[in-house]
Amino acid sequence: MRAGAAVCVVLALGILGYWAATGMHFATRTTLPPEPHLSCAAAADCGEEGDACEQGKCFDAFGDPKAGKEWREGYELGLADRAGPAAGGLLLLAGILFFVDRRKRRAAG
Amino acid sequence: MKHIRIALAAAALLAFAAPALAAPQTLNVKGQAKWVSEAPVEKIVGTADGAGVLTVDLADPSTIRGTITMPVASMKSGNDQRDDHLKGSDWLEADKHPTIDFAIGSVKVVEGPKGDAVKEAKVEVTGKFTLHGVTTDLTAPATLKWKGDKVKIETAFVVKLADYKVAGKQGVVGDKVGETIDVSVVLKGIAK
Repeated sequence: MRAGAAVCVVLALGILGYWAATGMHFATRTTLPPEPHLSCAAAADCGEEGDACEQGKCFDAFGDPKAGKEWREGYELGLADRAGPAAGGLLLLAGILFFVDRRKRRAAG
Repeated sequence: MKHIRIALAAAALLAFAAPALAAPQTLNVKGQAKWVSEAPVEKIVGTADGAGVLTVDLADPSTIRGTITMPVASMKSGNDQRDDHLKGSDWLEADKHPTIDFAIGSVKVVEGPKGDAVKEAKVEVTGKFTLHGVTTDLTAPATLKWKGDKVKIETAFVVKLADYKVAGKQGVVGDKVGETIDVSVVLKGIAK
């Protein structure tokens, strides 16, 4: 039971560590905003007639940097809706396991 | 005599063509708005689609008129649950007020037009902005660029949620959602 509680604590710390390492976002994002300056390999990747691809970045027909329009695949773990409840639940479970284990040991000894 | 006839014909052609060239053109624009909410707890970045039918005489950018519409349903912030809340009864009530509209009333040219291949004019656009069923006067700086018949409009402005009776859940505005939202819009179209 103690080992189970320890695993729960380690998992909770792991979740919080991952959350901290990935930018400490408040809410989870399952897609990421469009690129501020669209990347390209060729002008055709930029989407519109007259667009140009220079040094891997898109420029529109007016010569301005072109931003993407599509949300990108990606994931940012948020504290409020995922990391917090998950880590909190695991720590609560660890606490219960420690408590039960202590009571059992006391009853036995 | 032949030269005089040609000259007269050319003059007549120009006389007919000039008003046609100066006539307002229809401009179907499409693009995207980026909106940013900055609050102490959280910064939220989102987008919304924008489109509109405008009329403009490119020789005089102050002639732009028309309405730009953004469907509330197109708003995205990268979190489905938050997007549902945004469109729900506590926030923008998309079922009752499905669009955000800006109807251009007047345009003042601040600078330009200048440039050769790409013409550019800085303007100040005043119109009626409708959000959440509330309409207010809004003035925003904008940049109008055109190259041939291709036209690009860029603008940025700030929306104060309280002005549009967007209250949100109690305690959220000012904490997790900014009291004001920064909006920047880029629209492109072809004048016909």
